[in-house]
Formats: sequence, structure tokens, C-alpha cells
Amino acid sequence: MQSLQLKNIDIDQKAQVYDAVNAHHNVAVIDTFERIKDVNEGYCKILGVNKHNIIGETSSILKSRLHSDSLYKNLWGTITNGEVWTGVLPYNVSKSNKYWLQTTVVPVKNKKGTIEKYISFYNDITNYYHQDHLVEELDTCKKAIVKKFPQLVLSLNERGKILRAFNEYRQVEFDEIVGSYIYDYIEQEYHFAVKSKIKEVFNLQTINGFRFASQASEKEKALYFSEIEPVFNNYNEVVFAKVTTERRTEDIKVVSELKAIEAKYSTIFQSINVGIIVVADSNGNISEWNQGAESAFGYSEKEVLGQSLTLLIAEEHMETSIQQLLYLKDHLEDCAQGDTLEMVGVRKNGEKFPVEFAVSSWYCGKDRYFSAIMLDISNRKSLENKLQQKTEDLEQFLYRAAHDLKAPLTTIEGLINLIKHENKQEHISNIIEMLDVSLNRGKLLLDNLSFASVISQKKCQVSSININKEVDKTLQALSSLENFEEIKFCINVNEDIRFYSNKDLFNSMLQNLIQNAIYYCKPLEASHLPTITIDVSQSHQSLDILIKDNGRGISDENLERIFDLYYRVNNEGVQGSALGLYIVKCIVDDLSGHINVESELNIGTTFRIEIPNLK
Amino acid sequence: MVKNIIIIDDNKIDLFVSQKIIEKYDSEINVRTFNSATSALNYLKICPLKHNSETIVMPDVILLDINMPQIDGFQFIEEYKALNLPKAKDVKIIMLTSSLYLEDIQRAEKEAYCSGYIDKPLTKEKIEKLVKKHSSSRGSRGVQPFSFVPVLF
Repeated sequence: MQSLQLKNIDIDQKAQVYDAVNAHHNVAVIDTFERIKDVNEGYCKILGVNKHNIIGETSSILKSRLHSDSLYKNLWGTITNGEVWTGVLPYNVSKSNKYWLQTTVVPVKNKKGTIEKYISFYNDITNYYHQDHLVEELDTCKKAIVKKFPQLVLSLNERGKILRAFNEYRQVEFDEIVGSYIYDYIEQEYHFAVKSKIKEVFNLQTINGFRFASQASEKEKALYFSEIEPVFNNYNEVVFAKVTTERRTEDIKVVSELKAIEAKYSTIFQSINVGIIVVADSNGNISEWNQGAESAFGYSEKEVLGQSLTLLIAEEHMETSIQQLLYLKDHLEDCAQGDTLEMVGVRKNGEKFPVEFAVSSWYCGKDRYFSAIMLDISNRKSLENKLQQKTEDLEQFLYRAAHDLKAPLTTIEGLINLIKHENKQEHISNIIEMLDVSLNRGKLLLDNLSFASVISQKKCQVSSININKEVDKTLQALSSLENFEEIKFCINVNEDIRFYSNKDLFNSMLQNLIQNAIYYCKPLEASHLPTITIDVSQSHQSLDILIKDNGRGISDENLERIFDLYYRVNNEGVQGSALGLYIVKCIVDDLSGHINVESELNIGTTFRIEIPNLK
Repeated sequence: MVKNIIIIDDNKIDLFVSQKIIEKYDSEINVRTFNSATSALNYLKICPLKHNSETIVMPDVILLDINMPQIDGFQFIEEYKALNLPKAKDVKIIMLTSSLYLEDIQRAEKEAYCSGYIDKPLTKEKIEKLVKKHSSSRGSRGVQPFSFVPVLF
């Protein structure tokens, strides 16, 4: 019972499939002798024949295996081999009417495995086939029309659609291309440039020109040049753009290379997320504006093109910014390299933000152009401010810590003084002496630390400096040092021009360097006279100081590190707080000067310093 | 002559050191120590009332520590001014400091009541210089500021 039901369902389903195939396909069954055994209604409809008229005939669609055409040879070869064949076959109803049939032929085998019959399915795809054909025909039509472009005047809308095409001389309209887009006739690589030119015509109302190559085979490829100009209505609005074209005889290869460069440039220009603004010198107006600039300033290209650059500058900084811009303009004239400019920009929504421009300029014919590549430096600025705040905090901390640490040291110093007065014992005196030395070292270190922390604050206080006097004062202050008396000082100060700088910093630098030279002197011997040379020469812009000793010198590996914080080359018998040269370096850096050192072991060390005259 | 000195310092050991040094320099000088500005002000308040007393007298010199909790040296000077004591200007106030803060020095120089500053610790030499200076100018009204040039190196 159950199996019978299943069988029924099986049969039902088969029937349904059969109906479906029957309804949607045109089917013919052919025997091994190429005769039609059965057909369905669809098949008859296509061929426009009655079923009983073709049964037993050979198939006019599949032709025969004897046919010489490779298409049919392939067909019959496949199916007689027992394989399925699919392909498109033509069928001529009459001379002018042709069907295109998507065909599948399935060989059907009997139980022994020999082919019994073929079932063929046909689908009418004539409509698609024709469309494809039409496209091909249209292409040839386009090529023909492009050749006619030089005689045509085209009217375009903003999107490049052709509104009208006519031949000026013959007053003939070319309606067949109306409604198509100009891009249809232009090689793809030119599309972007043409698009932007059309845009310019509508937005800026200027007359423009563009080149393009036709959409044609390599051989026939030709170069055209079109002039495009806006046409206004009575209200001075651009209604459409008029395009006139001439054929160019230039080497298409050169032009296509140029084209590639331009495409590269414009792609970079548009896609980069850095704002780029191009300004024409003649009027100071913005002539190019990319995505990056749009996202930074919030103005769209349309809103900003033709506007003055001042639109983007915050009002309260206007005067200084314009001064800077004018300075840059003159400055760029002399040098080919670009320059940078920091200013406060203003967004469309009124928000202000710091911005840095890398400005460069070039000439194009007579016209001068400027491009400003802008970087939003809000992040950098806020980090800079934070860093500065942190530096100040650190300096303040160092200063306070150094001072606060000094308080207990001075208390100890006071107590030691008291012990000195009370004490009559020799061996304790020695210990007290050592205590004193360590204490003074600690105090000196703290003083140096607190001085180092105020270097950057001090540099603003500028006064004139009498260098001769300061050198003398420094030597006097150092005269209590152990081996001072043994050293010969050669001092040569050439002081013609008044030198301005910060006195405290200058003295500290001088003192540290000379003190350093004294510390590292070799002892006086018959064969060695310790000598320190101090040479100061001056120009309008700067002061050159040379401090040279013939002492112990510094080895190469140590030389790189002598300006480091807490680095001391030789601990043995050398006084000082290890901060001396670090302080010197800080001072020279803060005064925007330069320092360099040369040294050779046992020969001596030379420091050369150049610091700018601050007046 | 400098006969009476008041030392105001919150650090008792510093007070002890300073007092000992002055005694060693000249045992004739009376030294009175206070470890807070408030107690010193209280003392100065009652001085004019006890002008017959041998022990409670206006000092010739006040050695004043700048860095103190609650009332620091400069605040002390403000309060001292507000007391409006007779002969208030005859008292030399010398700032005593363990660290030469730049701003402290500048402030001390501007302060009319402040006659100078000494960096700690107090030594015999420093007190000698101070006493000599103020003994010679005793009687003249004008305040002669003296100052140590801070040598940082």
C-alpha cells in the first residue's frame, strides 16, 4: 500500500516536471537516423509548422552530421559520442528573419548503452542576440560620429549630457547623439579631466579647453581638442556649455604620457586626505580645492572656488596671517623650495583650529600659482602645549626639590660649624673636614640642579655683556681651585661689537667650561706647562668662543657622552657635580647656539661655541 | 650696638645652631628664639607695654626664616606692620633662608621692612658683618639694605 502511494507520488512529480519542461522549452526528439520522432507545441510555434508535417523529416535546426560547417560538425561529433552539447544555433525563417536559439542536445541511451535517440531543447534568445549586435553597431556609429566632431557644435549640461548637436556650416542637426553623454565618445582616461572642466565652466563661468582621444581602435585613435565655454541666460546663469572641437595632429603618444601624469596628479590631489588648496596669484582666489581641504574646513568645492583665501583665516589673526603670506610670497620668489606657515584657520562652522601650510609656488605661462598643502596640527599643538606644561612642571619640581633638599644640608652645615668650635681633637677634625667636603659637594650639586631648572626661564632676560670683565670675574671666582696657580692662561678677547645675551647663562657657561678645563689639567712638570687658551672673537650675528686646554683629554667613546646628564669621564680626583657640561649644553641650546668638542687623550680638549648675538 | 636679637625659625635645630653661633660671637647679646611666627608676634605685641622690663624688650634685629608653616616670613612682616608698633622701623628684619629662591630674593628686596637676607647656616662671620653694619647705622633713620650676592657656583 505504502509503496504504491510512493510510486504514485513519484509519477505525479515526474508528470509535473514534464509539464514544466514542456511549457518553457521547445523540445524535439530525434532518432539516430536524424529524423524527428516527436516535438512539442513550442517547437512547432517557432518554426511555424504543424506537428504532423515535420514528424519523420530531418531537423532543419540541427542540420545533419554531414554538414560541412564546423558548428554542426562539432554538434554532431559531440552527441554521437554520447555527450551533451550546448550552444547557439541560427534558424532562418526567411531571408530577413532569423532566430537565434540557445540549444541543448542530450543523447539518450538504452540499457545496452547504445544511443537510442536525442532530445533537443531550444530557447529563443533572438532578442538578446540582437541587442548585443546593436551595441556593436552603435560602437561603429560612435566612431563615425567622433570623426565628425570637428564639424559639430555640442551643447552640454552640467553632467556632460549632449543636449543638442549640429553642424554650424551646413546647419544640420545631429539628433542621433542627443541624450547620450559626451563621455561615450571619449576614451576613459580622459573622463576625469573632462568632467572637471565641465564643472569649472558651470561653477566658475570661465572658458576652458580639454583634450581627449576618441574611443576607437588603436589604429584609428585620434586626438582632439575641444574648447568649452559657458552660455548664459538673461539672468547671467549658465544654461549650458558650448563645445567646439578640432582634431589635433600631435603625437598621441606624448599626449597620452602627459595624460598619465595628469591623471596621476589629479588622483593624488583628490584622494589624499591632506588638504590642498591652489591659489592663483593674480587675484588671491582659490582655484583648486580637494577632498582633504573640504573635510578640514567644511566648505565644499562649489562654495569655495573663486573665493578669497582670507575666507579661511580667523579674523583676529587676519593681519598677521596676511603679513606672513605676503612675506612668503616674496620669499618664495627667490627660492625654489617651499616654506611652511603656521596660522589659525577657521572652519565653516566658525570653529578655529591651528593649521600648518606647506606652501610652494610655480609659474604656468605668465600666471603664478601657489599651492598650500595643509596639515591640521590641532593634535600636535595640544601635545606641544601639554609637553611644554609638563616641562615647566618638571623644572618647577626640580627647582623646589633642590631647594627643599638644601634646608637639611644647611642645618647639618651649621651643626658642623658648631662642632668645629667645640672640638679640640685632631682625629675628629679630620673627619669633620671630610664631612665638610661631602656637604659642600651636596650643596653644589643642588645649586647646579636648581640652576639647570631655570635655564630656559632665564634666556628671555637679555642685557649687554662685557666679555673681558666676565672672563676676569670668572677666573677670579675659580682662583681658589687647587691647581689654579700652576696654570698659564692665554686670554684673547676681541670685543668690537656689543654683545647681548643673558648674563647669568653666559657666566655659568664660561665658568663651567673653564672650571672643567682646570679640573682636567695635568700637573705642572718641567716638561709640561698646563695651559688654558680662551679665545673670543665676534661678528655681528654671533660670538665665537674657543676654550682649549692641554690636559688629560677625553677618549673617543667618552666624547659622545660628555654632555649627558650625570656623566663624568673620570671620577678620580675630579671635583664638580657632573652637571657642568650638561648645563653648558642646555645653555647653548637655549641660546640657539652650537657647541662642539674635539679631544685627544693626553693632548688636550678644545671646546668651540658659537652663540648668537641677541640684538 | 646690637644688643637684642630675636630668631624666628620653625626648625628647632636651626634655632639652636643660630643661637649658639651668636652666643659664641658675643655672649653679651641677648638672643630670644621662637619656633613660630605667631609666638613671636605675641611677644612683640607685649613689648611696648613692658617698656620698664629688663627682659622683655624690643629687639634690635629679627632674624626671620622665610619658609615656615602657617605664617611664613613674608606674612610675618605683614602682620608685624599691622601691629603699628612704635619704633617698628628701628627693628632690622633680616631674612634667614636655607635656599636662595629667586622670587624670594626679589620679594625681600622690594619689602621696605626687610633690611637684607642671610643664607643659612648662620656663621660667626655672617653675624659679625651684620652686627657691624647695623651698629654703625644705628640712629640714622634710613634703612640701608645689605645683601649677599648669591653665588651659585
